[in-house]
Amino acid sequence: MEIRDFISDNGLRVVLIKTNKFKTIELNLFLSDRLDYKSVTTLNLLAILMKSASKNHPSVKEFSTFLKENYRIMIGASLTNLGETNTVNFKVRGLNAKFLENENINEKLFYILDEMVNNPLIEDGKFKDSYYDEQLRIYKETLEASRDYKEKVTIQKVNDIMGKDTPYGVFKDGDLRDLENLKNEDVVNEYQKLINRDACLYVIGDIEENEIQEYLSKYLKMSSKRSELSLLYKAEMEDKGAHQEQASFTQSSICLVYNFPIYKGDELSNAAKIYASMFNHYLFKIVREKHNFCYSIFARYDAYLGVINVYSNIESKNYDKTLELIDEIIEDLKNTEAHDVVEMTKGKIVNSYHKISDLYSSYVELHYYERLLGNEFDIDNITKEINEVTIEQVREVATKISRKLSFILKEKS
Amino acid sequence: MKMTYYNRVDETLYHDTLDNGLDVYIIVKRGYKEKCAYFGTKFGSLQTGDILVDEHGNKHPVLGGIAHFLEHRLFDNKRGNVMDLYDNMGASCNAFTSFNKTVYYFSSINNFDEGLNLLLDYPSEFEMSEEAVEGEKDIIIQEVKMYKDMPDRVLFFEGLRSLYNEHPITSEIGGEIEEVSATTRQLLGLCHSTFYDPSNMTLVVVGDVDVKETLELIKKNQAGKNFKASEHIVKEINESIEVAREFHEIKMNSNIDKVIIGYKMEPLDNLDTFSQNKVVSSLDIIGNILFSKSGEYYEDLVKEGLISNIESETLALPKMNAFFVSAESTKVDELAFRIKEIVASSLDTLTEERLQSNKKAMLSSLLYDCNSCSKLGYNFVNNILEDFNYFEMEEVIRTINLEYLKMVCKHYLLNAKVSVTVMKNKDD
Repeated sequence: MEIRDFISDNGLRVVLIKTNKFKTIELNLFLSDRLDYKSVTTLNLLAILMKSASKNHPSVKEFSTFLKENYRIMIGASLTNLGETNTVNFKVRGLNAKFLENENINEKLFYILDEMVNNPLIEDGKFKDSYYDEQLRIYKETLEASRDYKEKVTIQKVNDIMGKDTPYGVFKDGDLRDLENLKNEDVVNEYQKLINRDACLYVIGDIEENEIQEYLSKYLKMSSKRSELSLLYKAEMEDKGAHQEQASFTQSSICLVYNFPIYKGDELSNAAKIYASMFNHYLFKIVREKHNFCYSIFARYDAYLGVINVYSNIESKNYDKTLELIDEIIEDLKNTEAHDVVEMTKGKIVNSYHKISDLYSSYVELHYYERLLGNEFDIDNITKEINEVTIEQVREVATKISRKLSFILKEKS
Repeated sequence: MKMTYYNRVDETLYHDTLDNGLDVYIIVKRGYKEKCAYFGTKFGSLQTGDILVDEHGNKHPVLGGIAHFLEHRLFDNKRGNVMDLYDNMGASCNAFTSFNKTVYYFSSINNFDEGLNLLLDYPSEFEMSEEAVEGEKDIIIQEVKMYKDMPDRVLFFEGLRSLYNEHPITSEIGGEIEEVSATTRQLLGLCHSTFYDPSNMTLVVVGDVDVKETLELIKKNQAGKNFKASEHIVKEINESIEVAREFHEIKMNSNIDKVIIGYKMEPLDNLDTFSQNKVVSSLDIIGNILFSKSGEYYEDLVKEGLISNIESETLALPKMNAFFVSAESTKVDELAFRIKEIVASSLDTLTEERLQSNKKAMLSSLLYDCNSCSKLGYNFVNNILEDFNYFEMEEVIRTINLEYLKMVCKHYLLNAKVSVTVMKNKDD
C-alpha cells in the first residue's frame, strides 16, 4: 500500500491509498465539525435525503437505477460522534475497470459522490416536498421499529439519564422526539452548514493521482478548512445511580456506565486498551461461562469520552449477582497477576491492527481520525507501543474505573 | 490437488479430497495479512426428527436444537477451552449453526498452522462431562430467550410455520427451551459420532498461504482419522403441497406492524446443484425487479404510505423451496393484498432490460465479497456444504436469460401456494 497526500486544484485535501489488492475503488468523504447535540437527528435525516436522490436523479427509483446499472455502485452516508466531534461520512464503492467488460466507471464514482453532496434534491430552499415527506415518514417508522429491540430501548433510556445535552447521551441514530417540530427548511439549513465543514477525501484502490485530479476538476469542487476540532470530551461525570424500568420482553437487558477517564493520546491509553480487553475477557469467562447467566456480555471502551459501557441480556433474578460479579472482576483487576492474560490480550489487539490493512474502510476511518488528532496512523508504531505496556500500567489504569450508572430494562413477569 | 483459476473473478481455487473423505479447498489471496479457515459439517436443525441408532441398536430421535448445542459444547476440549487456546495465539474464533450445517472457524495473522491444526482437531473430539452439559443449558436458554425478543426473527419463523406442516424447517435452530432442557450427553455423543465423520465435512482455507505446505499439514493431521459413522435414518417428510395456514396473526411487542408473505413452491431436489442455484438466483432477480428500490413497485408502495421497508428472499433446502416478501407497515392488511397482486402479475414486469440490470448487480456482489478473506471464506463454505462451488455462481448468473426467468416465474412462483403472517402490537 502506498499512501499519498495532495491538495486538489480547488483546495480539497485528498489522501490516496494506492493498492491493487482490492477489486474495487472506494471514495470516502469526511465532513467534520463540532458536535451539536440538537442536530444529530436532523443530520441523520439529512444523510438519508442526500443518499437517496439528487437533482439529476430526482427520485429514489432513478437514483437506485443509476447505481444498479453501473455494476451496483454501493453508497453510504453515516454519522460518527467522537468526543465533541461529529463526522458525516459519504462513501462510494465501485468495481475496478479490470472486472468490467470494456467499461470504466471510475468517473461515475466521483460524479455520484458529487451528486449526493453538492446536488441534493433541493428546490426553492426546501427538499422537494413529496420526497421529503416520504423519507421523513420512512425515517420515523425506522426509528419506531428499532424500539422493538430491547437493546436499543436500553441504550436510549441510558442516554436520556446520562443527559441528551452531553456527548454521553447523544443517540447516534437520532431521536424520534426531535422529529416532532422539525421542518424541511431546518434540514436545508443543516445541509448548508454541512457542506461548509472541513472536508477530506480518501481514495483507495488501483487508481492514479492524475486521474483523480482530472475528476476533481469537474466534481467535488470543495475545499478543506483547518478547523479546531476537539475529539476528546473530558468532563466530570455525574453519578446517576441505579435505575430500572419494565417492558414486555422475555428477558432483561442491562447497561452499566463506567467513568474511565483515560483518553486517546494519554500516556496510559495503550494500557487502557489492554485493560478494557481484559475486562471483556473476564466478563465472558465469569458471568457467562462460569455462572451461565447470559449468552452475550461485553464491554465497550470509548477512548474519546473516557467511558466503558457494559451490555448484556440476562434474567432479572440474576441481576444483583451479575453486578456483584462485575464488581469483583473490577476489584481483582486492580491487583492482577495474570501476566499470561495481559500478554494474550496484547497479541489479540496487535493482530486486530494488522488485520485492518485488509479492511479498507476500517483502515481509512482510523487513518482519518488519527489525522484529526494530529497523529499519523502507523500500524507498526501502534503495535510496538501496545507490546511495551507493562502489567504495572494495567494495574494503574484499573484503579481509575468507577460506576456511574446501572440500568436494567426488566422483563415482564 | 486440482487447481482452477476463475478469470472473471480473478480467484484461484485448489481442491483435494483426502483418503478419509474430508474435502479440502484452499483459496489463495496474495497480499492479504489475514488468513481464515472454516471447518464445517452437514448437520443442522433440518435433522430434527431423524433417528440415530446407537451401538446397542437403540433408536434415538434427534431433538430440536441439538446441532447448535453440540456446537456450543465442542468448544470445551481436553486441551482446554478452545477460545482461550486461540486467544493465546492472538487469533479469533467462533462457530455457527444453521438449518443444514455447523461451521467452526478462526482467523489469524500469525500462528496459522497451529490454529489450523486446532481447528481440525477440536470439532472432531467429543469430550464432555454431564455437568458441563447441564451448565451449558442455562447459557443456551438465555440465547433462545434473546431470539424470542427479536420480532423480525420471530416473524420469519412464524412465516415458515405458516407454509410448512411437517418439514423440520419450522424447528428453531437453537431449539425450544424444553428441547434444550431435555438434551443429554448421550444424545450429543450419538449426534457427534453420526455427523462429524470427515466424509460429511469440508475444510476451506483462505489467505496468503503456501498451498503445498498447507495441504501437507492437513494430510498429516487427518492421517488415521477415520470414523465409522453411526446409523442414521432420515425422517420421512410427508409435506403437503398446501400451506399449513393461509393466514396467521401474532401479537408481540412491536412498535410497527410487520407482515411476511410466503410462497410455497415446488422443491428443487430433482435438479442438480447448478440448476438449483439458477432457479434461486432467478427468483432473487424477480424479487429485485418487483421490490428493490430500483424496482417497479417500491416507489408506488412508498407513495401510498404502505411501506417503510420491504425485502424479498428465497430459501431453498432439501424438500422445500420458498419465496418470501416481508415488510414493515402501518397498513399491513392492505399491504398484504397489494403484494399478492404484484406477485400475481409479475410475469408482465419481466423485461430484458430489467433482467440485464439485475444480473450486472448480482455479478458485482460476487466481486465485492471477494475483497475480504473472511467474507469470501464464509460464502464459499456455506455454498460448498450445499455441494455448490461459489465461484460457479458467476456462470449461473450469466446463463439466466429472459426465457428462463419467465419459466421460473410461471412454474415456481405463480404456481405457489400462499400464506400471510402478520405481527401486530400486543397492546393493540
